[in-house]
Amino acid sequence: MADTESRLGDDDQLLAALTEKQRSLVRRMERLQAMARADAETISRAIIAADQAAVVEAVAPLPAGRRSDVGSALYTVVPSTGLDSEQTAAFAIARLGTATEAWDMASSLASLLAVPATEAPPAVLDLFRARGRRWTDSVVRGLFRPDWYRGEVWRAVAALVQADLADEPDSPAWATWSLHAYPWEDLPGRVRSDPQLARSLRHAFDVPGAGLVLSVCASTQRPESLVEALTGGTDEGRADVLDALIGTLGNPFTENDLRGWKEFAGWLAPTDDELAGHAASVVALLAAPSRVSVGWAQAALARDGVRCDAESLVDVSDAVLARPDKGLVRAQLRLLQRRYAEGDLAADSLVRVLAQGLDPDRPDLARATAAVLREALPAAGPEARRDVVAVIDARFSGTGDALRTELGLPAGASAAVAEPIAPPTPVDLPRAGAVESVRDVDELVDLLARIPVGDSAPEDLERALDGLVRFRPEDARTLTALTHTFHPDQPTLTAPDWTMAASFVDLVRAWLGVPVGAAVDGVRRRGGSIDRPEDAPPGAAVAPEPWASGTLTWREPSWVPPMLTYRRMVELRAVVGSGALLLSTPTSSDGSIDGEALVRRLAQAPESGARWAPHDVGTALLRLEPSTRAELEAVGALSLHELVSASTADALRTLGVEDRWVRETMDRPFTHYAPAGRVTGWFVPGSARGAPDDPVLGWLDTSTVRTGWHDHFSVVDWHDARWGAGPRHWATVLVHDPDLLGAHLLPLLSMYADRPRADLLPVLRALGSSRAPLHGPASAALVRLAAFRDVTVRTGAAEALAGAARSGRLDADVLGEELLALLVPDADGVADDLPPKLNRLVETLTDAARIDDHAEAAVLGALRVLMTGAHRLRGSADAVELTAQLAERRGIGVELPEGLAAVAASRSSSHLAVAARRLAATVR
Amino acid sequence: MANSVDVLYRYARPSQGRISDGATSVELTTTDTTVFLDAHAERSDVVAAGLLAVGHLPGTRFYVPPGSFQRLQASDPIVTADPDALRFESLSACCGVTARLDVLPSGLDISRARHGTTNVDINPALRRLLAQVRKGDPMRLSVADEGLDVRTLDGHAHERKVSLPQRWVRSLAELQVLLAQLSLVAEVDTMGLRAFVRSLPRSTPAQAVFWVQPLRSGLRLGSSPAPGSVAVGGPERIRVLESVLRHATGLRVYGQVGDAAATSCWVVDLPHSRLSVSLSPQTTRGFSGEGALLEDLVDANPDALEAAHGRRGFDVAEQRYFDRVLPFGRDVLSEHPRLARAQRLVLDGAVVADGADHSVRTSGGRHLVRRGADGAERCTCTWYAKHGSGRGPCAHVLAVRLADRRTDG
Repeated sequence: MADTESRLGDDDQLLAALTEKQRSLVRRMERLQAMARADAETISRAIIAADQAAVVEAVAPLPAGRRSDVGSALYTVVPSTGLDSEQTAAFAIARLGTATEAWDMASSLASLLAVPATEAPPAVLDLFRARGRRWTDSVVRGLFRPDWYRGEVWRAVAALVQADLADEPDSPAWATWSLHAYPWEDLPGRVRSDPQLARSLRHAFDVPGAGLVLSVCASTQRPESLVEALTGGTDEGRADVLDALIGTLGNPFTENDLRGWKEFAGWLAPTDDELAGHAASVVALLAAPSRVSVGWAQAALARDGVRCDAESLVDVSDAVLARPDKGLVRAQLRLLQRRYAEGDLAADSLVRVLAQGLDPDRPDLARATAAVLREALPAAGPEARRDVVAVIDARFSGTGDALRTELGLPAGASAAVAEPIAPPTPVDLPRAGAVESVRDVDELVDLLARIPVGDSAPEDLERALDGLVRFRPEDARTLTALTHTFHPDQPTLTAPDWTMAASFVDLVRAWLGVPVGAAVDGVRRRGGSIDRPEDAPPGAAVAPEPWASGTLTWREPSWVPPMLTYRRMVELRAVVGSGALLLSTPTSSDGSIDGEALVRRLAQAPESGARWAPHDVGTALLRLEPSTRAELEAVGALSLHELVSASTADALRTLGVEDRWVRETMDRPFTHYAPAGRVTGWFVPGSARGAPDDPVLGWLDTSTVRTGWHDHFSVVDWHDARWGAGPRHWATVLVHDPDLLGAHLLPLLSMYADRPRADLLPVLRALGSSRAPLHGPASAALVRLAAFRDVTVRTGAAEALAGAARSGRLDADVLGEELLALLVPDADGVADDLPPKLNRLVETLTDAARIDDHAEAAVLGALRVLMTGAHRLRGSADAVELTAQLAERRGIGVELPEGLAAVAASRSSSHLAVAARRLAATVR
Repeated sequence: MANSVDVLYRYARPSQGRISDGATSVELTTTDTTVFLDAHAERSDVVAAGLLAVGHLPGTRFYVPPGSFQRLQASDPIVTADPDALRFESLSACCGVTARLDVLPSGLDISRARHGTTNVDINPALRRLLAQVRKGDPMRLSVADEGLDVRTLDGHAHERKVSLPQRWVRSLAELQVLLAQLSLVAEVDTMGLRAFVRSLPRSTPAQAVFWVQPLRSGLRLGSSPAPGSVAVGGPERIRVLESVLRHATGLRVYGQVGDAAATSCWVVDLPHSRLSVSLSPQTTRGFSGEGALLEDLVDANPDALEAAHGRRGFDVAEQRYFDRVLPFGRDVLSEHPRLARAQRLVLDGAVVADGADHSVRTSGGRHLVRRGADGAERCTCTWYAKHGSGRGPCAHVLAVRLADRRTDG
């Protein structure tokens, strides 16, 4: 009691301190609360008396502004337990009448119309009647959000419509919801008593989304009830519904939506006679946009008792045979073959439509098509036969004669086989474009504003870094323009600590004078109950995590690529706005530095006694072409020992050396988010130990690929579509050693291949236009990238392969070895447990081969190596098929390796065996 | 729905069709009261397939903005009868794809025709019928309301109320400017077209841009610009052409050769007709936001004011404009939002000259508009940082231009 009095005393003091206007407001609020409480008490008495009419009488006149207060007060005066069902219903009406949000209203309606459903209680209708049309319309609009399904709401609104209190909603959801409005009930009975429901159900055939609802219905409604409700249980009704169903399947709805309708078709189970009565519509469905619909139509037409107009079937077959879905094409061929065998189809028209389906890019389908053609050709007229020959001559190179012979057609003018092509000798690629310095603060501001929000070229980051060091943000306008973008609370720019995006934003903030967090130089490790315990290194700061008993964390020094790029940004924080000269700014857009330019920069030495900043000088040296560096050293223009330590200088001399790489399949470290497994990486045995602030040693220490496998990508900003910003920057630092880039990329590429969006095109461009040859690590990276889920990455990988092949930097045998190593288990059965997806790889290789002759030759060369392990590789038939196709095109015989030869010699008719035989035929 | 206007499509009766004795009759009803066309189609199967493609598009949405709860209702296709072609046009629900079927005079044996534009009803029943039309079937095509008096039907009139987004009209308005900037970049034959459409991915990241590169063997979708390539965002949208592939005799690609994402137009040649599908630069971008008309609107160009109401179209195949008198009043379209915002800034005195530059005060801070050596204005706002000048000037640049004009005036 003393406490309460004391608090009251405080309140009095507080009131005394208020101005008169504030006191007036407080009094007004108190008055309103008192009124709300009085209203709530009146309503409460009606609820306790279970008098719904009295509740409506009390609630209906409440002005909109007071409903929320009264609603809140209701909860304080109505007992929360012990209400019987009548009182609960009265309470729900009161809640409906005081609710201001659509969700609250829906919730109240749901409790009023709980399953088993009842009609809307008259009191509910009275409430809507009393409130008037405007309120009712707004409630109905709020309730009918298409993404927000509630069957009870449909029933409530239907009651309002029936009572002529609201218009029937014109939203498509009105029809789709009706399918699920009476779960677990006698739907046919409902339809018989409610013509409006019948209308809505039938309307569902025309609106998107209803198929999805149907899929859900199967769990709450017996399919036969739904069918009876829709058909009325009559033959006419069934005919109408089948007609509507076929129409629906022809609509451009989503595949999932149409799958629901296909399921419904299964429930309807039309008889052969019924389907025959709709044969014309079913045939027309073969030209529908969705594969689901086409598949259903094919299945219907394949039934014994279903006959259709043969001419229509042939007419529409052209559309099916051109489809990308191979299964549908095969099914159509079977359908045509059967109808021809039954004597329904004219040979001439069949032959003509089949000829159009002969596509050299789809050899497996061309073969299946040829099999049907072979049956029809003998009966075809001379003109139709000539048409077939013309198509073969125009489209098939190399295999045209064989195909004609197979079909029993006379020889014709076969398209020429591609000229043999020698692998290109490495050519001196043109230099990448020059990097232009930022001219003034205004241009820098434009650049800074652009980098965090969208795509920018890799060199833009370097230009921005150079500008941040050379210019001061002394202009207040600059601050104004950028502060908003780089404000610490800007949510779009929040990213994990060490990503390029986050470290760049911190750097700009430092330039603007905005405080930034302290820098770190190591990675955080955890050990304990979840992760496999690891020993913290000596001297590491170990701290228990208060929220996870038994778990310890510590930081340890790290020089994985993300840390190195982060530390470079941290180093720059000290010199932003100083007007200092940066050594590391590239002179070419690929990231390289011209030797003369570097020598000129070095001539402007920092103040006596000072040394160049380690990341700046180290990055500059990595960007200098090794041969140029050697020349400059030879003529005394560059002295590594004056710039870096002896060990760093020694390590730098290994940059770009070819024969230092070793591939190894190793155990991947276990973490709670990535189970243990076997992964393939590339290493340089005996590479010098790195350091966080020595980029040369850090980048060249490939042991981090093993020890810091997860660190290589755990700091990539995977929350952000721009997570490729880091790797794209790596590519501009390791411009002269694509293999070192590949080795550091592999952990990331093996783990992130299935991300839907990967911003790795600049990395691919760097690999594809590399001036240095691509060996194992870089080729392995290309193989991984070629199997990414993101189609932009796969397309870029095809171009990178073609680009490197064209410039003579890609060795087909090396690429083949990487395909083999990553895809096929070795003799001991040891395999990478994150192999690239073979189907995507084959797609990318097919795409690359189309780009030009050099790419085609390189892809064929790589595939020939892969063929040695193809028999041990699941799903390799497409790869063998592609090899055969390219070999035929190029007129090159490919000897089958032992394993594949055995498959070809077997009696198997599998896709692989057929493809292997086709490949074997290239030798003949 | 904000920024939309309720349009009541009121047809005398639903469009309908009949197939009897192998002859097809398609009666497209309109919201107008006169006969637009009465003709026989030379290739009924081609017209039917084209109408299906155009009729399907309004119900298709290639991009749903995150957090969007509203499902925009499909607007009906429009038909324009002019002496050079009978043009059926429609726009996807996301306003990023348009399809236009031009039935050429050679494909129609015309009994009656009247120049003009109106809505047509392509309903599910009619779509079902169109799907069954076969090659060689004679087809009578009428576009009219058959003189029926709507009032006498007493509620049986075929009505559909649609919240037509202003974006719809604005998209048509922008499209003619964008199309007029395109040139022919590639042509492929039937096989090349089929192979290309088949090679298209089923989905791509929403903001990804690809480049269609002409190769010796047809077209290829590339990830970077190559000589003669044309940018295309959301290439899966080209699949709209699938429904007419079996009739196609070739494909012409119109675009802008260059590095930036841009509008492209895909014209499939069909017997006696052609289907043109125009794609916005990215899936996330509707035509309405491209800002192609803004420059002319600031200059108060009378042609631009007319075009802003969607009353002009451009035929890339023939490289000429055509009139499209939309069956809506001019009042359905409010001022362009960016232009309106610029005008508000000027009226509020937010534009202040700062030496050679201008400072524009907004609720989100102050932005600087500078004129570069090339004469182009640059702004420090995030919109400009994101889009540059590729989608027309930002509101601040527009405000500066309007303020300059005021001063000069």
